Amino acid sequence: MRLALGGFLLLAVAAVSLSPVMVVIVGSFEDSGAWRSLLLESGQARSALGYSVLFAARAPFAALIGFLLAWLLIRVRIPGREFIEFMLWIAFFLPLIPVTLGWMLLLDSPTGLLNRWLAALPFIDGPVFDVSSVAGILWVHMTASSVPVMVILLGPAIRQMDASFEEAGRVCGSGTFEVFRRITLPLLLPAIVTGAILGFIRGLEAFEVEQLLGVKEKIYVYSTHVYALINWEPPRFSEAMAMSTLVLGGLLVIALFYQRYTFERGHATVTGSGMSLREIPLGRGRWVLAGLFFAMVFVTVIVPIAFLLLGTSMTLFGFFHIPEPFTTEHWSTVLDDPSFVPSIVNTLILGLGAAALGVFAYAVIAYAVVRTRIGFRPLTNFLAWLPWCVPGILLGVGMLSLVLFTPFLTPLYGSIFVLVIAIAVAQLPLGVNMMKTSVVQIAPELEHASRVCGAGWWRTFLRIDIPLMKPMLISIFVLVTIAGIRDVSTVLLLAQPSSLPLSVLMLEYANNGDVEPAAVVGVFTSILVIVVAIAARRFGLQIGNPR
Amino acid sequence: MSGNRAGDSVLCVRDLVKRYGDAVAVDGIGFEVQEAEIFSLLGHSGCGKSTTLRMVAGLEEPDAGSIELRGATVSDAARGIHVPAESRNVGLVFQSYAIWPHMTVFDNVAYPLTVRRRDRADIRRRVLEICEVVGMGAFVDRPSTALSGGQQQRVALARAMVYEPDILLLDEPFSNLDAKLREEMRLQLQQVQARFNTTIVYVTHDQTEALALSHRIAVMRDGAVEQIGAPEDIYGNPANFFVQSFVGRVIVLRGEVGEAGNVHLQAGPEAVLPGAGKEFSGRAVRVTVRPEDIFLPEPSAPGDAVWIEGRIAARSYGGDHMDYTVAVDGAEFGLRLDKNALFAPGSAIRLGFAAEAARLWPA
Repeated sequence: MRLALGGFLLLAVAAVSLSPVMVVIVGSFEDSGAWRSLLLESGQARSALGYSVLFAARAPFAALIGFLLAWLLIRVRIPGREFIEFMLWIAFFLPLIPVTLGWMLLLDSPTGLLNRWLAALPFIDGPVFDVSSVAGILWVHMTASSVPVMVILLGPAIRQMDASFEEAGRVCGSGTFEVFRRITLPLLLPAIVTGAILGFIRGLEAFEVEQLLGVKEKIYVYSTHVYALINWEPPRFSEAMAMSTLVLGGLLVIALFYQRYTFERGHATVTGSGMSLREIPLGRGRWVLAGLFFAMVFVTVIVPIAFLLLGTSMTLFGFFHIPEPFTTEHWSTVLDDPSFVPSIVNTLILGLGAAALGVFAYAVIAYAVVRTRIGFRPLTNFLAWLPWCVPGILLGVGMLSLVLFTPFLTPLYGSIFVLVIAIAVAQLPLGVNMMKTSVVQIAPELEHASRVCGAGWWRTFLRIDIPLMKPMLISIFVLVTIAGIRDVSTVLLLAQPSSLPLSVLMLEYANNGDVEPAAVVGVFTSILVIVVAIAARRFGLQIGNPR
Repeated sequence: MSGNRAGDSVLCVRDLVKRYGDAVAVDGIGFEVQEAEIFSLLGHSGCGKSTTLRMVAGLEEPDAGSIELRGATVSDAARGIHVPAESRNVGLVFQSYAIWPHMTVFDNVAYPLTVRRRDRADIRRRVLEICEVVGMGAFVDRPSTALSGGQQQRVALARAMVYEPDILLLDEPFSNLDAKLREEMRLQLQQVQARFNTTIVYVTHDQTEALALSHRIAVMRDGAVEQIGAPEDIYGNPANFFVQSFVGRVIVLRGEVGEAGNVHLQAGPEAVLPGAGKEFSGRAVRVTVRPEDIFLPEPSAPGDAVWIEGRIAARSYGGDHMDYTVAVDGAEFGLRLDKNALFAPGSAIRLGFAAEAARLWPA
């Protein structure tokens, strides 16, 4: 019985997490030329790998900056820090394409608004900024996601640190700065390193920013290169799969190292005793810090959004003095596009569907792995983790091949259901992991007490476990919903005209050079995400709410 | 115990075995518990007492042996019978209380009744009644996260009793409370037990608690029962050296049995127990004496007493008494004496006991 149940669960998880990966690996060897071309000939492939690593190498810097910002936000009573933190959450949740579009309107060379303003100054010649460059891509990534993510990720580690470690340092005679340097930083270093490795892995699979800013300058990274190969006429599947296999191998090695590292070091720092950390008194200094933080939030979050909005309604972006500077043309382009309304519906189905399916599946898997004695649990656990190091574009290629080349799955081609599955699978590692922490926190006695009181397994699960896991269930639901709305790289290759979500519609506009209509769609996706985030906050999800 | 048929007892445990991999947690335990009895399982941590309790509750499945509750077999490894916990009608108070944090006091206590589909008025009446009994009447609407340790304990007790289970199982229920509160809770448990005639199996490592509370005690070691008996039996007539040294305080002296069964203690030239050790002739023995049987060489001391020589290692002032640590024959033990009996640390002391008060065990 235990073996049968365990085997069933294992097969179910393997079907969605392992098979797309296997299809890619096997597929890469079907055409022997693919590997030869990848390893020996293709200069573009090698250049793409090089750029991927170069861009991903921002992660340690982002982790360090993020840690400093998080530490200041938590330990100094900065006026308005709730707002600052909320804006960082917004930055984290906002889809990358609209933010990138905002920066393009501002920093494009030579037509970007800032460039033209600067060119008007007497002593400046030619465009100063070029967002379509290595520096531009790094800038957008750092401000739009990397740093905010690190602040959000490292905040809990700082909050959970036992205050007595720092207090002991002070009693021994160290000042605030010395305590930070000699106690806080070394204690939290494992968390920072963990964040850096995580950022590196996520950086290797980045797609949207590089697609919008890099491709026209021939700056390809792994995922944009794969996207180009698939869009070739005819599609170069084998090469895309060979390159994916290579990247997957590398990611797997890093990810396993990461697991080992977090397993060995992870437990050391978190010893929360419930004692709250002392805040650092900083008199006037905190107003200076607040000013800096507001400036940062203003520049990195509010400015690109503002220019995105402005861009959607100007005839010629940045030209205020022409006869009719403002227009509704871009809005009507989008609103009249027959695929627009279906796209909204698809996005909602995608976000909510993946969240509903995911929350249920993650809860079952996590509970089975943590609390039951069914067979194959370690293997099931590993397979649930596997998509963690599978780039979205790779998962997309794998799913697409599965659907195209498995006879009984072909009817699903072009169906939104495939996209729903893909998002649920992409979020599987995060979801199961979060659920596991929630299940572990439910003391077994709480279940046992219910059993002894006369309730069976099912009633116990419904009345004791589910209510206790409710906050986590809601959190995961929200995160998966937002992932479904934001995601581009996973669903890009799977989306067909009938199953087109907003995110892919937006990318298609942008790829065709229609930046303003893309920005209009970007406004809609951003609003959706922000609405979900605010709703989640009302449900008590910890967003932008220190302590 | 020995004279009872299985049918008379509330709980009958036979030859229970539980293994975890290679480790044997419970190794062939058997006992019976009678109606309205408080029966304690006493032993060090890891002796298998909690595992035994969990098997009775149905939370663990025995590898061998059987359990009967009110004459019905609920576990029988040989016949493959294992009634799940929810169908046993037992009450269990956990060491950690296991109060559900997402429910109020009322919801926690009402839970077993809602599971049993009682009607709402009945549930309300009974929950309020039992909460009153355990002293939580004023707190029924509190969220359970706002309770102190002692209050959680009371809620756990109320929840375990509200549905009048056939038997109430308590797993070290007071071990997380401070000494004063523990005393208070123990008294309350006794009162509640007397009022409802509850049958209780009580797991504890605290021998004082077991002695004070129980009608009968099973002393356990390494997964097996060493002795079952009333507290007076266990204390006054221990079955072996382990039981005597575990239950109550004891002074252990080394001795040699000579001819005619005379026991010569190493604790002094006059320390001889005449003819006491015939069955251990020629062998080394351990002689045990309870501290309360020790007296000082005063005129009132009996003439045929056994005298041992010791040294005061330390003393501490206790108000109406003085606590001494006495070193005898290389071992130390505590001795509480009248505040007027003054000995300086380091000074020699002579202590006596009646030969009948001593027990002999093989070394």
